[in-house]
Amino acid sequence: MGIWSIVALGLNVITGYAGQFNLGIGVYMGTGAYTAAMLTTGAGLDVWLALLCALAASAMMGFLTGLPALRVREDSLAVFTIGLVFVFESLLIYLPYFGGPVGIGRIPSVAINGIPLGKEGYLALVLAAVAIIIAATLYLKRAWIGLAWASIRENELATNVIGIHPARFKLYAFTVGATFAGLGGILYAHFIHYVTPYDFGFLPSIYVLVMIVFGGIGTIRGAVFGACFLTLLPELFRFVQDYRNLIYGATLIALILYEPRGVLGDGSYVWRLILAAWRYVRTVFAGVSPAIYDKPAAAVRKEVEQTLTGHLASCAQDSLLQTRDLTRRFGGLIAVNAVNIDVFPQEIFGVIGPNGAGKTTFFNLLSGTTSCTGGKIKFKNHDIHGFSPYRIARLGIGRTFQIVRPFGELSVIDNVLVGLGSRFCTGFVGALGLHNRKSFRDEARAILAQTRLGDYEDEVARNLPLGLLRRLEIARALGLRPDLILLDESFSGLSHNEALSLLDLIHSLREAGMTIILIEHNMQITMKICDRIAVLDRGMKIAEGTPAEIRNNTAVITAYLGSDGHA
Amino acid sequence: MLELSDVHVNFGHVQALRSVSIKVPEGCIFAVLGANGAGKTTLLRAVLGLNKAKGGIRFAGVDIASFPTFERVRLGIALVPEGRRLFPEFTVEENLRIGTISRNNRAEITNDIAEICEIFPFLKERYRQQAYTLSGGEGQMLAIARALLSRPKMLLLDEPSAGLMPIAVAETFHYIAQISKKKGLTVLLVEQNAAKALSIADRAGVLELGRLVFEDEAAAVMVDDRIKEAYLGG
Amino acid sequence: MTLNLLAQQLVNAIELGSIYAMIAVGLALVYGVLRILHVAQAGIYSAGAFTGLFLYQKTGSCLVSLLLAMVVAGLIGALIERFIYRPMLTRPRIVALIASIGLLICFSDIFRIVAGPNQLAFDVPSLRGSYDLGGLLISRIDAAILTGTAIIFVLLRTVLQKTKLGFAIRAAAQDIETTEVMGINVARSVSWIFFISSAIAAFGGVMVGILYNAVYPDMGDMIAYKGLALIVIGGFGSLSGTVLASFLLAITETILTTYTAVPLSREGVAMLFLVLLILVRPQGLLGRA
Repeated sequence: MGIWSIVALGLNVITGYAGQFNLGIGVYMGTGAYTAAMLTTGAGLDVWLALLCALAASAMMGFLTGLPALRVREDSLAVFTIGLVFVFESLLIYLPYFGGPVGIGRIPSVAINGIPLGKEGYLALVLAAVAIIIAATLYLKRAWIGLAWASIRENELATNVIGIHPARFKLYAFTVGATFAGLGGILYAHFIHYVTPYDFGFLPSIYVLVMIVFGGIGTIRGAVFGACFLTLLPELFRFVQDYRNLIYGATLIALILYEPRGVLGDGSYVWRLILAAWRYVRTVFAGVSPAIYDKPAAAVRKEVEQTLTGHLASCAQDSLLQTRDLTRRFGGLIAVNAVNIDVFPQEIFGVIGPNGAGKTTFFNLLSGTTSCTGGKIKFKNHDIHGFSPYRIARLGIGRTFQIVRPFGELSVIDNVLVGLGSRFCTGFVGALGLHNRKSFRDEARAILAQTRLGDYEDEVARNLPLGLLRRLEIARALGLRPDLILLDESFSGLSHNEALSLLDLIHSLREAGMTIILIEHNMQITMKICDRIAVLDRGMKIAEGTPAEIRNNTAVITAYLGSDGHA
Repeated sequence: MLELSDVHVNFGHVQALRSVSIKVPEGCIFAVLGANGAGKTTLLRAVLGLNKAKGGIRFAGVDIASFPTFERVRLGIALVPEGRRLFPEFTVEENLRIGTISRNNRAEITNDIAEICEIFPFLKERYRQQAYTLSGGEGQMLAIARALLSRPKMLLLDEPSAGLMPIAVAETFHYIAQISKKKGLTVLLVEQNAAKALSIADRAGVLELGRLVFEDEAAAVMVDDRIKEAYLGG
Repeated sequence: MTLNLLAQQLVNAIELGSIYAMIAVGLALVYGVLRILHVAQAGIYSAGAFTGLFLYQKTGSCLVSLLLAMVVAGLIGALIERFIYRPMLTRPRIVALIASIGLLICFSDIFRIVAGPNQLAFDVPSLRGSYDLGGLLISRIDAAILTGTAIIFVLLRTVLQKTKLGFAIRAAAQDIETTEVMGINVARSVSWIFFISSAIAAFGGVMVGILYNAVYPDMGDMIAYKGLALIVIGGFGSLSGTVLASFLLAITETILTTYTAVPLSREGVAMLFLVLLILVRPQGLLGRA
């Protein structure tokens, strides 16, 4: 039981946390098991040494299989992993090196100081291992890497612009998950004393998947519960043994139809019951939750604002952003045609134009989401065209999307922390840093205060109304302390009041030292808020100037209302 | 012919259409104008049932609000979608024929196709070419032809000028006006290019942020200051 | 290897390829329109075999049992679509795949419970014996399979190219919404797709059951994951790609397992193909990028 929990937790990391659906976890478990088996029987290695080697082998397997997985589409990933596990199983069966279909037997028991562990001893060992892995998983979840994984799972497209390189993190997930699974495999080998290829093939992999889907995908409690329950089930109900597969299959279907989050998943009926009961118990034994962070909010806010302006003062350029002859072609269509603009620090610059004028493509060029086919972009005097989006994000350009892309399952403050953390946490080791660190949370809170989302700190992002979601997009981008922020139709769909408060926010951002470029269709807002406006039509800039100038510009009027030329 | 009463459409949090009521009389060319994001496309899609709407929708006297899309279409509504949405791998011929798929009279179908090919010779030239090879203007004509081949009573057009060169736009609108008069077709047209749309429309309505702010004869709308406001702000 | 042996192997390969192709095409049809990987089709394949056997024992007529089994399977398929897949259309595709795998597991177990875990014999006397074509022996059952699959392919092609239903299916594979806007009842067309592909799968099941004189609960496994591999290799919904992939696979399998000693099961070969191909060309052989 414990063994399967470990494997389940491993799959949980890959699939539950990072959202990469891996249907072949057997590969990693098998790698661990077989390596340990072969090393201890064939090479006569000491058990503990073999364990380390086997763990390394599993990790490497995870890494290697993760690499190609980055290239494939979402649909294909699942099929790809199925393919992998079949090939793995086949290789184990047919290559005599691995002992063929009969497997490897007579694997020695684990021994401490030469004394072999009996049943109870081994149980203790396994439980200890489970505890370690649970602790490790918990830590990962709390560490920033857990957040990064969650953000990839929730909304991969948005991760790029906050400076997260999704491929890298997916690899981390694969490697870590594989290591856990491998550990499970090793323990399995020493427990049963016998490994065969069929133990790690497709069907076992599916069992593990059922375990975490049943228990609650993406949760530790779910993985453990699922593993225990489903391993226990045939033991408790002997007669069920016969129908094991049927029940597995039926459970899978029923669950995925009705309770896709699993029995103990976040929104499930059972879990909510448990949570409600827990809360009831707590109010009965009323305790006081201490106010841990009570640094006066105003002071923190001031700090943040000061650092922002200080940051800006250090790059007093003439124009913050320049584009020269910026062009983007899609085959025969020229979406953006030789556009030149200059945006000055602390300016609120608007980009408008009729449908299909190329405004969003223009933003995509600026944020690096799309590469340009001609021209240059200079930001803070660096050439940035050709840079990848997450690099541009780190250089100081933040961006929001026309269709909001929040990390739905994460709380508001976690959404902001994702952006914040990516500033500090680079590389694997860095990412292991805690995101709960006080300094991070304070800064996040300051940002929330600035965007007036303070009251919603712990609210799950999914539940917020549109106006607040748009502010959250901005807050998230602020986490990277950008100098320039690109707002893509932030006002669309907002009610009058929501629009007014967003207007205030933008003004306050400018006062804090930021430069803002916005795309907008709502003309009243644009005219009211922008210092200068550029008008695009069919990819070309047809006018630029102050709102008053633009409103009376005949070319602009024609572009929008159409000419009555030849009817 | 078409009657919308108090129609609301929500996408999650966003209210795309609020309490819209429109009457389009038979044979009329009705233009729905407004800036981007005002809800124009949503309106058309709601008529067809592609977006879930609350409120009353009546077509030719029948309450279609609970009908699935294909049934509404079979009652006599045809759509020329935004961006054409031709079947890219089908040939011109197949795109035309699929417009007729809900009809049964082979003789009439053959006649209609022949007629359309007379009006648009390029269709005959490119008959066996796959649709994705057509230019913007040609694609637009094909899409309209496809819609007309179902012999609809009402034609819905979603931003017909989008992505077209000015000459193609002129031709398209000219053709729409012509065909409507000739066949007595009711037309509901959604368009950003207000001037072009008003030049062929009988009546027009302006949407702003999901609400219908005013509606009148086309001539009246053209000179009304409110339209400039709705597009370019006060 | 004599020419005769080679020719024999060729016949085997073609036969194998036809069966693969038939089943894979059904899968490709489903994927093309719904983007669902319908692994459970293998369960319908087995169901067809069991039903065919059962009916044959009752009626003694091979043809009747075959046709009835196909109809029954078709209905099962349509029911699955209606009650299991349709509610999942709004969820991510992986959900459908998991449900499909669950279904397959259920099917296998149901057969095991109902008909016992052992192989059942499916002996059809009228199909025993063989034809001698100048030294080349083709058994009657082989001939039946080859003719049967050829007929099915021709029928399928006719339906797809010449009928309204086929037209609707081909349109839906490109753009479901616009197809509906043309006045086509897409939901009903989808039901037909499932009916057809399930019937075809059943044909395969019955024929293979007779061929190997063995019907057993797990017989679908061979087909299930290979079918997946085939549609991915063929190009995610491209019908001609799938057929091509099927024959390529059959030929490769036959050559490899007869003439060389590759450390892979037959399934392993397919999967290896899959893995390698996805790496090199993620859109499949004839798929669109």
